[in-house]
Amino acid sequence: MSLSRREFLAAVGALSAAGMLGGCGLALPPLTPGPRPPTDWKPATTPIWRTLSRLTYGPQPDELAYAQAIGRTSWIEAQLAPTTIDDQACALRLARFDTLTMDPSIIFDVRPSYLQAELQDGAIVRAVHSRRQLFELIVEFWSDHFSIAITKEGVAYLKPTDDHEVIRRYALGRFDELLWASMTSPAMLVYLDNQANHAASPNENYARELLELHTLGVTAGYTQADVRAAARCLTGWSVGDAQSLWRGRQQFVAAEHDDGPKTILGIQIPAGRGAGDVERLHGILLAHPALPQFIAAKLVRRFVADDPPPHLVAAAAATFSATKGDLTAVLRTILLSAEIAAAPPKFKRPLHLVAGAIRQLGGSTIGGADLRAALTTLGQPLFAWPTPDGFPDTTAAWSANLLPRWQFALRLAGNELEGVASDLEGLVQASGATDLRTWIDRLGSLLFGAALPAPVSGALASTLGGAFTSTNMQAALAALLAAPHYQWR
Amino acid sequence: MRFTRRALLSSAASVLATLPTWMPRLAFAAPETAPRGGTLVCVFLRGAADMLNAIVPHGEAAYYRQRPFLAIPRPDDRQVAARLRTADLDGFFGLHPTLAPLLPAWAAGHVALVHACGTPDESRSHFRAMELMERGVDGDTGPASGWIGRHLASLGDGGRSPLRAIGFGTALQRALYGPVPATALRSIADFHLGGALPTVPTLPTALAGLYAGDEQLAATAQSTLDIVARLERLDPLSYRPSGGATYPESELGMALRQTALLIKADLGLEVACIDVDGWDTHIAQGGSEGLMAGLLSDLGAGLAAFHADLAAQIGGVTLVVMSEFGRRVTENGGFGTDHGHGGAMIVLGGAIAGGRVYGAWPGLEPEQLIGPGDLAVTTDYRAVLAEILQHRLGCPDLESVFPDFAATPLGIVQTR
Repeated sequence: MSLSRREFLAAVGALSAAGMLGGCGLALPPLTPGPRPPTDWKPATTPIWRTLSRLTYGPQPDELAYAQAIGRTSWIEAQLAPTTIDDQACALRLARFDTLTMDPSIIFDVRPSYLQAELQDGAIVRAVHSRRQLFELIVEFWSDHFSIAITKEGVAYLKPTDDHEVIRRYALGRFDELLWASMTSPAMLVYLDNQANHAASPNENYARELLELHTLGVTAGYTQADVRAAARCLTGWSVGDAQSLWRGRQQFVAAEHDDGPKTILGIQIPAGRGAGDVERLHGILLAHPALPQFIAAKLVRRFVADDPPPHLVAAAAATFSATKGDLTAVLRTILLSAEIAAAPPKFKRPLHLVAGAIRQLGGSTIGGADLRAALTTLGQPLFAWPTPDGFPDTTAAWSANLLPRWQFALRLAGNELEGVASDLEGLVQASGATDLRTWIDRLGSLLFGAALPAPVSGALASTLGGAFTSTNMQAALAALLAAPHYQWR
Repeated sequence: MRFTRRALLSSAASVLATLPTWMPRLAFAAPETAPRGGTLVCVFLRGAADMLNAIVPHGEAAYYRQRPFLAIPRPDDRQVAARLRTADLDGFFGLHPTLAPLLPAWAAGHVALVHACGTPDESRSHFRAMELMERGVDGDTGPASGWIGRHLASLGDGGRSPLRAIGFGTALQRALYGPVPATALRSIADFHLGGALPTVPTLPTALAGLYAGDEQLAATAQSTLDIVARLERLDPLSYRPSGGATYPESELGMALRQTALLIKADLGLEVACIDVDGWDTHIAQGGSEGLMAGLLSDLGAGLAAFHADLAAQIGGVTLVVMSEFGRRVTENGGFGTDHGHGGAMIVLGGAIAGGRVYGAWPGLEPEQLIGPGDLAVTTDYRAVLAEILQHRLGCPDLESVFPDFAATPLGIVQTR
């Protein structure tokens, strides 16, 4: 690596510079493939660029070329069938994480901080390296919709199972299955205090969020009495036992269940149905007319626009109703719509920015403390949003906090992030640039799909000093990653 | 190369030495940034602090009956060491012994307490209560922005300092949400554009140029660059507190210390939000010593240092301590306390009628409690905040800050 750098720098006559270009941020573990910068890239056509910019964490030249070749619709259809996409390379990277799919019977012996780190690292690695990019974005959506903070006592043990058995398992499945899986997920029951929801002392925390955040939305017209009745349906569902601090699997304790008659949203549930109450609650929520609209609007907000176009929400809700909540079908309606093609840009959330930058530069990552900390500073500590509503999904919530984005850009371009390996000299070589201005233009087409307007790139080159030194190359890269153009998707 | 504080300092020094073109303009552009009113510091104890053990109703027999293990001993309880007893304030209430560092400020009339205070919300849910409290509303309807955000908006465009409103922490406090950009930061020492790259001094100019073309982001970008430039000049790491103040080595201590620095530097700071985690003491809460005593000790030492450090500026500063709700009067089987209702607020400042415990005390006898056995709320938290906003921060439109809330003034703050 150092030899080739030397040769390269000599070739472009830049040896006098600091010589800090490239170099791996760390020695990656043996089973982790190294960085692989793209070898060639061309300016992309606008529709394909926009599609991949929104439906992946960051468009890569080979994926762009593939999408261009098979067409936008076929590419989206392929991404909507993730199991048909070979993702062995990503699976290999994930193999180093022991706890992502660890059985609940042994996971309680692992330190929570380790579990939290692996869960966050796993999500970062998938966002950067999975070829099932749309699937990962949809997983991120449901992780927010059914948000569970691993910072709450005991939850770190339970969320890994929720991640693969609830969110990842049903992300493109049927909503009724997804909801049921979440309603019986130990992580959710503990996170929203259902273990403290007893017949004698009902706790409404989970019931309220189930109605407000997971199914109907706050404007659906339900009342405090409905929340109370839903809480009573959920009494007795808990996890493990109190002595082991909620370590274990979900369980129904009949003695703690309120078995009296209940009325929810105008529907009566007779007394004496025990564990059947929660199934009835599930059915009532699924049948409520507010549900398709609520879910559709949230999906449209994520993938199309902060202010969801009403026509598209209505179309997606109609698909939801017609298919009984087939989430692939609902997403197909949204992603193949005319509205998404014409949608205004959305501000990148931090994970999108971080994973996309590593991805587009052809970097390699295993996650790590630096990236986790960067995401925290950026405002998206993965699986740790403090309230159950998930990370916000509007530009306004994110766009006031620019400095951490600039700091991330500087650190990535300066190769200062442990856990990330990049090969910047390889990238410079592949760009064919031998002057700063060309480098800025080539980076522009790699990062934004097209070079910046000539006056802008010219001004940037002259501000940086003009010379084609390795520090200027890195500074130009930092400036472009920090640029407003890179904050939108 | 790893980034270190040393690297920050050297990069800041090199920026100063080279004086890039964007610096002088900022260095001399300060007149519009002076705060229009005072400065508000809002310390939020996350997790529902047990204020019954912080501001102890030692005159209540029921308090000792309900908390055989956790109660803080009476001021005259000779069975325990003096350092473990309640520090009496007025013969009925007293401070947890670890809050004793606040006694000088109390004696100076710079500390007021409001007991049985809180939100009308009875969900006993942290999320719910915090959300409502930070939005300053009663329920799901009403604005999604925060009460501080709306206060800042109500002032029009008077305060234009990029440091007008800051929140210490990783994410911006909901209370600060609103049309006026507020800044989240973990430490002002992190607020820099330093790095290993030698060309970093040109980056602010490069960014200013790039962002000038983005209508939605240009103003935020320019404010951010301004803050970075100003903080570089302040050199936060070399700050020495006045008045012999020693801040505790904690997140709270660091945030208070940096807030004091910003106030003294007169950079236009109007509001600072500081979060303190760890108050959800369901298990092993402790009494005069233990888990919560450690948290209170940090709080007491931090507030006392802040008061001493800002002795010369305290007339323009008001600090409030609040939490989403209080805790159950009866201790639970795990030597902790469960979610309750009424809590208390601490107000510290130089222009308040301190040295008093405000609020009607509802009592702790069983028939005086509400819900599953909780202290009632007799003073809405917004009554306290409204007074401060109106009289200390010049808020012209309380209705926009706390919609549908009619405040009954308690007379805690002096009118300007």
